[in-house]
Amino acid sequence: MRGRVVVFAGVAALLAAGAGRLGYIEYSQGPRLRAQAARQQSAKMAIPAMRGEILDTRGRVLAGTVRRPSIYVDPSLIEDRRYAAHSIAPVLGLEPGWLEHLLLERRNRKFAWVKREITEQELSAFKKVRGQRRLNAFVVRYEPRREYPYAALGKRLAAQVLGFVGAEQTGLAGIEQQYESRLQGTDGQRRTTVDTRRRPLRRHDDAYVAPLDGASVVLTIDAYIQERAEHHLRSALERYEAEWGVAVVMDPQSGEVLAMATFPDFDPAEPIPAGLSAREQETAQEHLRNRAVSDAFEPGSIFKPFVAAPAIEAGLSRLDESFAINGPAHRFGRRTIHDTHAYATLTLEDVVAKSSNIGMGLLGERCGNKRLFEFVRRFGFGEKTGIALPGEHAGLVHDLANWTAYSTQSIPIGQEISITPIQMVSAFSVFCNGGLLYRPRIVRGIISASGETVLDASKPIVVRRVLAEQVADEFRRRALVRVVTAGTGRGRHRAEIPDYQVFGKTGTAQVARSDGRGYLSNKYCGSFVGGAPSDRPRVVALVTIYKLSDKAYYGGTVAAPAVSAILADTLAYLQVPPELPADRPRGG
Amino acid sequence: MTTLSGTELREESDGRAAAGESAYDATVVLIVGALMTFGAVMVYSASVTIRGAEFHIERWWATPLRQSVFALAGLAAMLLTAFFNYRFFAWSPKWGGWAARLPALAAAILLLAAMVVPGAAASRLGSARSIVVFDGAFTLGFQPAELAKVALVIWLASRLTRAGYDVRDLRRGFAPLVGLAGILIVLTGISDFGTAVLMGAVLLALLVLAGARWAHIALLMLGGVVAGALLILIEPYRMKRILTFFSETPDPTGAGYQIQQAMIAIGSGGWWGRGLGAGLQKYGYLPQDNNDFILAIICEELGVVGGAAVVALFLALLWRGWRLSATAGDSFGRLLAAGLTLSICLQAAFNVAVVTNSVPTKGISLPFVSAGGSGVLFLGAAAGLLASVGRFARR
Repeated sequence: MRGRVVVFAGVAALLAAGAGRLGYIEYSQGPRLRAQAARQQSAKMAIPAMRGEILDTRGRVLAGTVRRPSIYVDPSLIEDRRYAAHSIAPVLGLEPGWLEHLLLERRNRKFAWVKREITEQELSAFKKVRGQRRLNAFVVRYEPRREYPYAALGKRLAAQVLGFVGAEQTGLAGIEQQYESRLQGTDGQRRTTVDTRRRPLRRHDDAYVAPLDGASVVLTIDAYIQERAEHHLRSALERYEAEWGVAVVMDPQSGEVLAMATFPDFDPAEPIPAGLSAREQETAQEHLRNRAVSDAFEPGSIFKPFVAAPAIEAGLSRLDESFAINGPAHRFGRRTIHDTHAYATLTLEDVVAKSSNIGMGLLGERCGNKRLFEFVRRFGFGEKTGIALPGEHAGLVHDLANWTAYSTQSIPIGQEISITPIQMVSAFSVFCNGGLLYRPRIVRGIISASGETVLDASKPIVVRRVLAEQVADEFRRRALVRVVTAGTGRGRHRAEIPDYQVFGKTGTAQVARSDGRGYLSNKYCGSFVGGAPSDRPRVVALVTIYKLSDKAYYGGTVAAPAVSAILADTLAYLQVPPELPADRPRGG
Repeated sequence: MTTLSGTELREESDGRAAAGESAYDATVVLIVGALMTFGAVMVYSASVTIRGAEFHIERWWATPLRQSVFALAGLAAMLLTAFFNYRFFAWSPKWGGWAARLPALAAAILLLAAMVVPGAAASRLGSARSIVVFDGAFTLGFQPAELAKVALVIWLASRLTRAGYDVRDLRRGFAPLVGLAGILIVLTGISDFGTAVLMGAVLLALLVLAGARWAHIALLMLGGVVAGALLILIEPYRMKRILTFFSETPDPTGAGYQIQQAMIAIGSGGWWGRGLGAGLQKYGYLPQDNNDFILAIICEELGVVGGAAVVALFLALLWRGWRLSATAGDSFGRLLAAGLTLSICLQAAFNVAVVTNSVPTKGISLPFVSAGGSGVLFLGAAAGLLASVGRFARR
């Protein structure tokens, strides 16, 4: 036959060329194609690390993480939607009709949530039905969720200190934000081989990197003291119908913050509740702020000790020096200063105890602006304390160059200056620990998931010596105790408590207008900062109550009872031995 | 030997003696049997997706089971026709030539039926290719194109070796033959372009072997190109495939997706493969994984070496067919053996070319290996017929 060899050889050549082409593809593109295959056939899945906990000073959990099971479905795998819906819906407490509709609506999708956060009972019932009826398109996924054990008991604690986490479990405020990198841990990863629908093809993973759980942050906060502080703060606010208030409790011997409360607070699980109007949302946003560190306000009379004590140390006055007051008004140049009572003469001790503005004005004149500025800065006002919380405000102390003749009288009575509650408590502690300014601390340490101490912050940090020990002690024992025994904080209903001698200072300041022009006429800020026992102080507490109605605006009236109640509860809790004999009459 | 054609008589007058009757050619049966068995295994591997079973999404066992049954049926058909005397199809005055015409006629009628009878045609990837014989727990389809392919070879071999037929005579020899063959090819080509191209190539080859005039063949090729162009234009997807093949940046999610996935399958197998059953491209990545693109799965699981081994089997079949054609005792046998061998091996070569992205994608399965009942059955029968040619071989 003609051409048989040619025809057959031609077909043989075609076949051989095909085989050669197979080899050529492998030779020339093999690695690239293998990489492409690996890319499309493998899916990476993150294994979320468990977020670290936030513990109080005794290891009580203030914020923890739990994994909650949720159920999702791959609707594209369901053939009989009615059967699947009627099998699964009852065990999850869902409407079969609703589930069937969901499966129909999402039939071309690969993912749809069936129910988020189911209970253990629902989970076991679900697993049983799924196994029996082979409805493997329904899958359990464990999702991490921040839990607040005390909130579950109806007593949420330290909301603004803890902060909160967002939807992706990242810290957005407070300690959660400050220690985000420590708390979050490192997610693990698994790589599995999947089909085109991204379903795993093998029971084992191709690669597995275990997650590294986040470290836990141990606070100096004590849950009990925190709860007491919040309780008394809330009571005071309700009693005086105040807008908001702050309470800070500190160990003056170390600078450890034992409690830090801002009220109103919020629910960390839902910081901004859904369904609020724009105005309500704005208010809710306000409540997220930790005013103890983020808000600076004009201190008023509460500031007087911070001028009086260093003036004594500088040799400009003595506690028993008499000042000619000739109240109730006194003219300093073009400015007239008023007292609430008409005093003739007052010792410096009584100027502080009775909170005489005229007396402080006279002292200010004697010090001069330069010294006043130095006193103020020495106590740490006008600079951040460095507490481990986000959004700290430095307060406001104008540059000396900008001070005027007015400043000479304004600064000694706590005007022309703004401070934060945490600065106030830290500065006040100087009188309690022999003259040292400690850096306020709210974090004691960080413990890794495996239990090792990653960071030890339990040692007190001295910023500087502010007063000589003797000056600080004497000022406390005489002037600050006298505020309570004979001055503005006098009386059982104000600052006094049984068994311990309280000392402290009241303050009432007008509220500056938000436009910066003068003060609001009927809004006041009442504060009391105090400590006990007077001999060797163990606790210092500050309560500031903001924007009062004009009917009871003196710090001694509104804030002092809250402070004394906090001090009493804290001293009892710390088992501090009673200072005063039970039968001895109190007061001056 | 009473029914000898004119050509054969001429050859016998040359002094070469025809051999006596002996057995069918066992080598062909062994090669094809190996391919069918291997095919059933690979179809099983490509079809079984573990998760499919777990999720109840498909009757994953249906395709491999059916393929195993058809592989057995194909083997049976091959053995049956191997024992059968191929000369039944040779043109004989006794039957008036109808024995040879019968398969082609049947194929033509069935092809028409697939197009005309409503509901008879089951659409598969846009081409109505099969007549549904049974549709219940499983679907049993019949693809007339598979029959047409074999029937054309039988009819051509018979017609070309008919006594007194002169293929060099355009008006009375060449034209009527090509015309009738053309009808069958076009009927096939309407729904199955790839098979029609293959049949056209086999027609050309047989005309060359039978000694047709080169001028006539050139004319036929021109006509073939025109007919092919018309068939491309009536189905938009064919145009798309051709455009895809020639486009510089193939769209990996569109028409080029399949060939891209085939390349990934070949490439990811390496020289020695991932191992039988260990391929991953069958999990939804490669469309037609157990059918037209089974070679890609073979390469993924058994490597380039495995794919080349399959090609080697077809080369062995080609060599054996050549031997059978060269030694056949009569001219019908020679032409029949050549036609059947070329038909099978050309199809294999086309399939390899498609899978390796050497020609535009068209629906051509790998003979004996790809899933598909009609293909295995009729090609098995064809292989048996080829083996049968060996029984009158000259030693």
